[in-house]
Amino acid sequence: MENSLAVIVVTWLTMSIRMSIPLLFPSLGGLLAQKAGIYNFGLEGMMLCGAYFGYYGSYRTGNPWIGLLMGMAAGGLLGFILAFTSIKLRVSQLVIGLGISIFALGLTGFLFRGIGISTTSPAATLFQKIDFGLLKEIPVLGEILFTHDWMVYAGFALVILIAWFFYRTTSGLNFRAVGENPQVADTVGINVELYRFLAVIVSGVLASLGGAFLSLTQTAYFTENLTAGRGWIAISAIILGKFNPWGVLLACLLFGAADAFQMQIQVMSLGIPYQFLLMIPYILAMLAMVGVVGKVRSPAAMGKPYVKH
Amino acid sequence: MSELSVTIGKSPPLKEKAFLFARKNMGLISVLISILAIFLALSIGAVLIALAGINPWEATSYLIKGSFGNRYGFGETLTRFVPLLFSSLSFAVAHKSGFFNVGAEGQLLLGAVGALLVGAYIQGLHPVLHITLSILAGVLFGAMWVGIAGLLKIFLQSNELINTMMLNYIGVLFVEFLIHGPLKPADSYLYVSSTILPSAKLPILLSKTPLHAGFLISLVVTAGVFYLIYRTPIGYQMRTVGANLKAASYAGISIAKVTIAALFVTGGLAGMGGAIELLGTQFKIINGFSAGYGYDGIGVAVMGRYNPVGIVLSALLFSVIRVGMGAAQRGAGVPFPLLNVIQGLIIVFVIASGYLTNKLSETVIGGRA
Repeated sequence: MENSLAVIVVTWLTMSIRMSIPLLFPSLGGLLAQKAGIYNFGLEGMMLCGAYFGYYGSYRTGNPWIGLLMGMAAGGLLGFILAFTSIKLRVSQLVIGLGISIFALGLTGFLFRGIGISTTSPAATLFQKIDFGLLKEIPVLGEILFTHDWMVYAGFALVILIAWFFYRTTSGLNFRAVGENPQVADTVGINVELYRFLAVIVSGVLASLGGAFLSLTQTAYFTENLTAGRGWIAISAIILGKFNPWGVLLACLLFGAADAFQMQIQVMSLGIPYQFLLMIPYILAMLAMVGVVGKVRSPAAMGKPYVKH
Repeated sequence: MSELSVTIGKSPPLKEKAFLFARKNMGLISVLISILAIFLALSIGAVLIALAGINPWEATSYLIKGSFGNRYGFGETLTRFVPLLFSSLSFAVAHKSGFFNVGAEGQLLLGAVGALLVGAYIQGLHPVLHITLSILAGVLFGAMWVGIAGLLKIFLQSNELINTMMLNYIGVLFVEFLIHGPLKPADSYLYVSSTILPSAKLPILLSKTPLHAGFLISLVVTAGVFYLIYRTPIGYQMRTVGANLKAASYAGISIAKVTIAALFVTGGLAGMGGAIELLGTQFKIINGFSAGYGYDGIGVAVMGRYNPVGIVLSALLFSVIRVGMGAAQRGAGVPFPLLNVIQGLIIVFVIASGYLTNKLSETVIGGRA
């Protein structure tokens, strides 16, 4: 009994780490955009495109790297559209982000059905798991930490990279200035528009990585609405993480743990209607934002287009 | 536009003429630009259809024939128009009041549940009373569902966009649970709710078509909503809160009270849309009851620029495309999700064209139109 409980806990922790990754990439992407003062409400759509084109590229060529690149290109393109419309045309960032998400849902669904393959949907080639050799044999920790795909470690590395960038480099400081006070940033010679464009495009690429993680390391298939709202939960994770990369990592681990928990309970078939289990991540996303009320300050110029005078 | 200024730059008299013309016909020009945007979106849709290996002309002819080329299609288009109109009104009212409600999809579903509880389980009522009570239950349930996000915003300043979106996912799962158990008739093997009683069904308006009295209700409600927004004190307060929170608070408007009123209207409208869809078209709740009306409503409201005539016309256009796409799918094998692609493109192009129109009027009149 004790043994099986230990197995369950180890499996849960392993899954928690894995399920935090499809949230971590888009959260970090959203964080970049928000630090530069732009809301990215297109994350869900960018994830979906990453998932679909990742799947398609890998299925077509048998090489998941090509799929990954295609997914990143699609995410970057959507990021560019969001950047152009919200920075140059100064349209509502909320509406255009939402429009991108709805558009991507349709586009990926259309393309997926449009491939027109027989009734069984073909599997894409997945990324090979990294073989850590002896490290894997360490009791408990070995399984939790050393049995993942490279993208999991890339996600964690990205947290370190972004934290270093924001708080240890001049460009990072400029970056935050653009989101806090674009007028001042402009006065001291920082190119506000350029920073914002780059931020939003990279944001799209990162979001697409979250989607590609799902199709290229987990499912090997694409289904309509594969991401199931993770792009929206990611925004909640940014708020819960207090707009700090380390905080965002913790928030994503929490959401990943909740997702892993509901998956495990489903497998155990305890008689709880599965619909209630599936609700858990969404409810948690709502609760998370309530929990940090009053303690979080978003970048001051967020959501406001910058007009140069 | 740059082309315009180049040609104009060479001959001043022509420039004056063009300016004069543009100044007189700004409204017309903005409508034309919108139509051009829609046309552009549809053209890209046609290209995608061609890329999928389907003849776009054939698809287009199915689209036109299926949506208003015959009596049944015409009736179906006006039927689908109803839930689209309600969810776009819901979004528009919230938008005017400074609340970003993207949860019409969930509110519509919950509204249908409310209407089903009255419509299927309360017996022996006169049809008029039965229908009225069922719709009111839908309004109440829809308002309750958005109320969760609303109260979180008013009292805890929690982001309503994420919350209303999360409530969509939760609502879909909750309704799925209901039709797997509590609302499923005991003798049924299908995951479908009970059917409403005949006395709760909305009467048919046009025989041999699905068009029902909900169509008339939707037009009356639209007029009522815009009367409320533009001609009543509470509507004025809602718009003030939406336009400038600080000014509203200086003017002594109770933000919480006005927001609660706006919430009731926005959720109530979406819920009413779900109730009428149930009482007039579907009669029972199945998985996928809403078919994305809640999300489409956002596009409709944006495209209609949040004004009554614009919203009615856009809802009509969206329902023509929706019904027509269904026909094109059956006739020419066009994948149905293309619908969302075209609608997404329309939103993007119309938003971009709004920018173009503003810029043009800035140049011509020296101020926003």
